[in-house]
Amino acid sequence: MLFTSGEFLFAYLPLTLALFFLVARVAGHAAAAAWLVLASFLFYAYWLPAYTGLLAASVVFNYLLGNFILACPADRQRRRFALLCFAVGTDLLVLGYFKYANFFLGTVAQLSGRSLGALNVILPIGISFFTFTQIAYLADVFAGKVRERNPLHYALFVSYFPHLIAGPVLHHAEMMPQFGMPRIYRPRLENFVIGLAFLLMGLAKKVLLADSWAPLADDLFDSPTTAAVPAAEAWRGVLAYTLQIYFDFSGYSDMAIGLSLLVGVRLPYNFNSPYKATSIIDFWRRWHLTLSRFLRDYLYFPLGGNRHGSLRRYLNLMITMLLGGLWHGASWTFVIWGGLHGVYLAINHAWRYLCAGLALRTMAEAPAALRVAGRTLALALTLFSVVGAWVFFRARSLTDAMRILGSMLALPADASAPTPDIGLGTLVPLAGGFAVALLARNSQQLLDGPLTRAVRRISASGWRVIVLAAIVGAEVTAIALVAVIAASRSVAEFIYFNF
Amino acid sequence: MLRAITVILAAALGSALLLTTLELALRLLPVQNGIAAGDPSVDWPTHRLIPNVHYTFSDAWDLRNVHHGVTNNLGYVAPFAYVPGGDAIVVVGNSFIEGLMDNYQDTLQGQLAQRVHAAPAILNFGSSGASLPDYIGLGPMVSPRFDVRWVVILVVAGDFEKGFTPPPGFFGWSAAATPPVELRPDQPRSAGVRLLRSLAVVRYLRGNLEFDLRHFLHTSVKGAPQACVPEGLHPGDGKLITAYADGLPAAYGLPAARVILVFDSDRAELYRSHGARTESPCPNRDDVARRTLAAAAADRGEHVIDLEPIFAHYFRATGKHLDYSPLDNHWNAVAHGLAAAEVARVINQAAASPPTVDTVPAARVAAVQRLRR
Repeated sequence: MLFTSGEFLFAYLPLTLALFFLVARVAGHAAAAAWLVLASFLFYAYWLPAYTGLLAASVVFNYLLGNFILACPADRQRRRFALLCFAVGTDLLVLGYFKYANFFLGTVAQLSGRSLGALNVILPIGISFFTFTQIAYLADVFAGKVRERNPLHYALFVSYFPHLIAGPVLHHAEMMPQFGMPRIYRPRLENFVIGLAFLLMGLAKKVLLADSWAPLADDLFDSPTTAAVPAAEAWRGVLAYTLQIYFDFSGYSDMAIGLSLLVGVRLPYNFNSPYKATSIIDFWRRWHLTLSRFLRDYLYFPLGGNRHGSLRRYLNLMITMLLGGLWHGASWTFVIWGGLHGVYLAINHAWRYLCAGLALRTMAEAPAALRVAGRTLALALTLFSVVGAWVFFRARSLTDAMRILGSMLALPADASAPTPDIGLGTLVPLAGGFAVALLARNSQQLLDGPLTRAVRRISASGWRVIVLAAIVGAEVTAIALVAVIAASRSVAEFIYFNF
Repeated sequence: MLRAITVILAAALGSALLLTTLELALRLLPVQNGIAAGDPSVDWPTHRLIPNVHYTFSDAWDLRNVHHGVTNNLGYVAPFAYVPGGDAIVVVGNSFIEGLMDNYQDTLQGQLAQRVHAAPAILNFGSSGASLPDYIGLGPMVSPRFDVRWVVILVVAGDFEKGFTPPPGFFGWSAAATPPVELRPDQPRSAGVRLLRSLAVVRYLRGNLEFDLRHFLHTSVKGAPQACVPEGLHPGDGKLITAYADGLPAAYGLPAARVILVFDSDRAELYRSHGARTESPCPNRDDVARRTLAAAAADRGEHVIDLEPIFAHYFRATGKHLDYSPLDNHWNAVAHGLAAAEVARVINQAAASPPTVDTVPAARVAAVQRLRR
């Protein structure tokens, strides 16, 4: 079910919330949590009921294996490790079968020159997200970091509908304790006001911004043509995709955060104005924060991080980014996207090392004009690198990616190809989009700051219920309007549903 | 209980305040206005707009492509009254011909008036929502009122299949009838509906956003993506199409050689392929039905104009779209102009030829052969 759809916003969501609070009041918190688990599975089943069993099996398997590891005496370290390997290995096998089997078959076929055929497998939606959150849980169980073991809370942590399909990548330690808090089982107007504001902000990002740029990007990347296209057309499509993916995914994340806040459960932020980054290191501290955190804690650090010298650090960075790329999809284009970012990060770290070694004056000490120029240059260089990498991320094949990059670099276009009609109608929205991404405050800055302060002031006043309820009414109406706008177009899935 | 009632009333108040603000804001903006179905009457039971109204058209949520125009005495988009009894070239189609999104002089009918030598009145009977059954169903209503010289029918994607689920006021397929169509009766609008139509918010939702509750509650993707399976005709489709092609000239009281069927092309595929492909690799039932109709009409001596090579040539030469896509796939002035030139060529050629000779230009033969594939 899409968060932008009428059936989700005006049938599933109100029914789920109403029953959650009702069950909590009548039958207790455990029953309400159980209802939320059931509702989350129903949410998942709406897409393809057959795969609900896979999700349920994954939850039960990982929880049981986690318990077996916990039950194993501390002095039986090898047995505990074997159990961990078995559990993680099984998870990766399942993920590998559904997501990567055809990729590997295709690669082997290409290398060997033999036709191996393809498996008829449909990728279960959200499988990467629920697999990785559970691998993190198992790793922490093994490391003795897990305290909360309530099975209901575990099932809810994995299947919780706001994050189930496209993240954020949650951590059990920040989620499971929240499900035990009595405050989430009572409806609070303050939660509704802030939650609906996030939801509305995310919905607007997705529907009004991302989906508006999608046709320009699709026009370039989905074209069956194999010839180079004019540079202006290539840049238009790539820049449109740069904006589309940011507003699409950050819009989804805002919606997930908002939906969760309706029951008072806080999800971690996933974006912090990534296109404002002035270096690639900075970019990865702003883009898909929860995946970056996961990759850092469960891949980069276990590989050794930066503890074994510079060379190992660059190697670890590269491995982490290559696997991060592969996580996004079973294609060499994603691997190259990850590899490119690995190279960018390595260069960025080397540059910092070089600057420190040469004892260059820091930016903070430079004259103001130079600081602004330096920051602008750094921002432009970072954005340019990110935009170039998006070509691999979005392209359907390496050949397509190279063709588009070649077009961007003004390689001669196919003379028979029509010259594109690029007017102000497309340039102004693109410029506006970058202005918003580069200059405006982001959702959490807006909502955590002024909105939360306003809600607190209203809550302290004598008109609390009336004013807050009126705001909720206005927000619901605005959400309905944006949802109608979404419905007026053809179905537009969130990009990260594919991962 | 009191608290719950307070919350509900306050939420309703908040919602009403937002809607009122929106209503005031939209009244200052060019949201769709004056575009509403007229009540059915005994002499004109089929769908048409409210007669003699100045309208505003705009598209989508951000009010693009604003156009102003008027409906005439019969409730069709034209800057002049339709006077019964005179000679006429009748142009029939759906929203493409209705042309709310175009200046009148840019439409096929508007440009035809400039291109046909000694043109009689060019009467547009295009209605948004109309489909193939309407194009034939209108004949017995139009032909007694006007001295029809030619009928020009624009056939676009969806025109066959939409005929199976016509909204009230439109004709639908009926295999038992001759011609094989039947009108689905409409009802006069109530005072409540008229009041709602006057609200800018409602016009914005219904007109600009095309809000439909059933569609709104079924917009999520369900199930895994399906592979392309080329479709064919369903049992009975062939018979409907044959009866349609047979009955079309008689419905307008014309010989077959005075009927011109204009077939739109798959422009989306043309753009997607950067001009390399002109038709979808996965045809559906409607695509096949339209091709079958083109072939059947040509066999009966009706003129068939296939716009596919014409549009493809234009796009390859200029790179410019022939419509308002990606926002709206209705034709722009260029597409209307290219179609008008083709139609005018047929009419002018016929006027220049001796009336007994039915010349078949080589280009038409080629076009028909291609459509028969």
